Amino acid sequence: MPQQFKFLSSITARLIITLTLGTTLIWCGAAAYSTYVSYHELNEAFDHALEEAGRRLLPLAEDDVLGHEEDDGRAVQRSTEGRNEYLSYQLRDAAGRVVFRSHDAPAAPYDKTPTAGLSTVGDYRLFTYTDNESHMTITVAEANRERSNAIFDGAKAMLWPLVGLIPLNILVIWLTVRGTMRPVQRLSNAIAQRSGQNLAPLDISDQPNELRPIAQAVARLVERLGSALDAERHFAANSAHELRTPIAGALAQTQRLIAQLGETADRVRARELEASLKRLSALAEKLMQISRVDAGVGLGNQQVDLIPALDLVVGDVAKRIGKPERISYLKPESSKLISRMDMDAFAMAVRNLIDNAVHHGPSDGVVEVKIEKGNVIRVINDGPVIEADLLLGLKRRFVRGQTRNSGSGLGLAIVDTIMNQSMGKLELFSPAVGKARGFEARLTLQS
Amino acid sequence: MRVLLIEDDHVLGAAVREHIASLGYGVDWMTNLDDAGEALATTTYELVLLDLNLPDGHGFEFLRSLRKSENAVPVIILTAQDQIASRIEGLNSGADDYLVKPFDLSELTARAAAVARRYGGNPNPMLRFGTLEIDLARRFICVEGESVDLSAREWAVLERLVRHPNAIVGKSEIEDSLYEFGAEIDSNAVEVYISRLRKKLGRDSIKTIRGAGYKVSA
Repeated sequence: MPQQFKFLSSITARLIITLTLGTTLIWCGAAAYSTYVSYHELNEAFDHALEEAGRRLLPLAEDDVLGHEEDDGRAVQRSTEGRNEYLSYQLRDAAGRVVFRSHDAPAAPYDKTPTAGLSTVGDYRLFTYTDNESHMTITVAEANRERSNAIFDGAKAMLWPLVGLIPLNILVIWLTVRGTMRPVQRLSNAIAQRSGQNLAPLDISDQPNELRPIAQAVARLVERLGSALDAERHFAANSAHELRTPIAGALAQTQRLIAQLGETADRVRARELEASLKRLSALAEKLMQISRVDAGVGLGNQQVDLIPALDLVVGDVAKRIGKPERISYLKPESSKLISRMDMDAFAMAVRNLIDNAVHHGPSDGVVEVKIEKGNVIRVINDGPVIEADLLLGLKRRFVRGQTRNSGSGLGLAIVDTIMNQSMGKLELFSPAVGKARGFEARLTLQS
Repeated sequence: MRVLLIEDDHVLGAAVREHIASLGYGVDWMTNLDDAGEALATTTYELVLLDLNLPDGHGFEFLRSLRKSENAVPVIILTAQDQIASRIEGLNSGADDYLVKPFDLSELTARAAAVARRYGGNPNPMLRFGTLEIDLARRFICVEGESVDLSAREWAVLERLVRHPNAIVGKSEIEDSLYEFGAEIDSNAVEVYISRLRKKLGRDSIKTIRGAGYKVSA
C-alpha cells in the first residue's frame, strides 16, 4: 500500500471513510433525484396554471376589448400598476394585431406566428388559445426566470439541511465505529501484554459474538504457548539431570583412577582427562543455563526477597573454592532484595558473577559481594583493569576478556539476558568504582 | 564413620563408594529407597549421602519420613537438580548440605567432614589432645610438632574416637564405622589398629576401658 494511503490500513479509518462517503453519496443522489422530479412536477403545475389562466382570461379580455375598440394597443393598468406581473398576456384579433395587453406585456407580439397551446419562446413560457367564435387569440406568458427561481428555491430548501447533516453524520459514524471497535482495542491490548513472562489466560468474557472466536483462538494459542514454554523449561531442567549425572560419574571414576595410579605417566594422562571433563562440565552447565534463559526464566510470578538465594549461592561458592576467606560478603543488617525476579534466575546470575570474579581474579585475591540500597548487588574482584572497548563487548555471547584462564565467554551474556528479562540492569566497570584496579559487575534489580 | 550411600547411577555410585572406603570408612551402597530404609532400620550410620531421583521415589519424601521418625543422622543430598527452590526444599526437609553433580570427590570429603564435625559438637577441624595436634579437614596430625603418617583405617579409628573426646567408644561401634555389610572382619582388627595408633601417637594417647571400649581424653 503506498505511503499516502497507509491510514487505510486501519479498520476504523476505513469504516469511517467508507460509511461517510457512502451515506453522503446516497443522500446527494436522493436529493438530485428529488430535485429532478420536483422540477418536472413544478413545470407541469406551472403549465397547468398558465393554461388555466389563459382560458379564464380570454372571455374577460374579450369583454374588455369590446368597450374600447378604438384603443387597440393600450395596456391594462388598473389592477397591476406599480408591481411586477408574474403572468402577462396579449390579446390579438384575427389579423394578429395586439388589441389588448397586460401592464408588463410588450407591445409587439410574443411570437409572430402564434402556436396553439404551450410553447417556449425566448425567455418566456407561453400559452396561446383562440376563441373560435370571436377569432380572438390570447397568449399568456410567464418569464422562465420566475419559474427557475421557484424551482431553485425548492431545491435549495431540500439541499441546505444536508450541509449540516453530513458533518453530523460523520460525527455519529465516528463515535459509533470507535465504540464498536473498543472490544477489538481491548483484545489487542490484552494480547500485546502477553509475553514469555506473562502468559496469563485472556479474559474473553466481555467480547462480542463476532470477536469471540478470534479471542478464543488467541486464548488457546496463549495456553499452548505457555505449555510449550513450560515443556521447554522442564526439558532444560531435566536435561540438566540427564547430562550432569553421567558427567559426575565419569569425573568421579577418573578421580578414583588418579588416586590409584600413583605418580606415573598414566596419572598425568588421567589428570588431563579430569581437566577435560571439568571443562566439558562447565561448558555443559553454561549451555544448560542458556537453554533455560532462552526459555524466558527471568521474571517470577510475584515479588520475593532474594536474600536467602544470595546467602545460599555465596555459601556454596565459598565451600566449593575451599577458601571461604576469599569471599567477603557485606550484607547490611536486615537488608532485603525485594523483586519480581525469578529466584533461580537470580541465583544463576549472581553465581555467574561470583564465579567469574573468583575465576578471573588473583588466585589469592578477595572477591567482594556487597548489597547496597536501591536493590543493588556489587561483585568486585581485584583483577587487572579491562580495556574499555573489551568491557563494552563482554555482555555478548562467546566474548572473553584478556585472560589466560579458561572460560566459555557465556557467563556475562547469561546474566545480561536474565537482567533484561526481569527489567533489571547489569553494569560493568573496570577499574572497580572507587579503586585503581579490579573489575566490578553491578546488578540493579527491578522491585 | 559408617556411611550410607543412596545412589542409583552405578558409575557414580561405585566411584563414591570406593572413595569413601579409601578414607577408611565403612560404606553401604543402596540403589533404591526401600533397601536404604531397611539399612537405616538395622544399622546406625553417621552420614547418609542421598540422591533425589530414585527409581522407587523421591529423596525429599524419604528425608522427611526419616526426620519424622526422629532419626537425626546427618544427610548430604547429592543431586543434579541445582534450582534454588529445590535446594531450599532439601534443606527445609532436614538435609545438612546439598551438593550439585558433578562434584569433586575431595569436595564431597570436605563437606562430609564438616557435617560430621557439626554433629560432633565442634565444627572446628583443629583439635588438640596433649601433645597431639589434629587437623581433621586436611587429615594431618602432629605429635610434639612432628607430622605422622596414618593409614586410612587408622585415621578412621582415630577420628571416631576424637569426635567425642572423653566418651567411651565400644569395639563394635568402631567396627561398625569401619566395615560395610558383608565385609569380613578379623576378630582382633580393632585391637590391631589401636595398637598401631599407640605406636605412632604415644602409648597414652588412647586409653583402654576394660570391658567397655576405648577413649581419648581431652
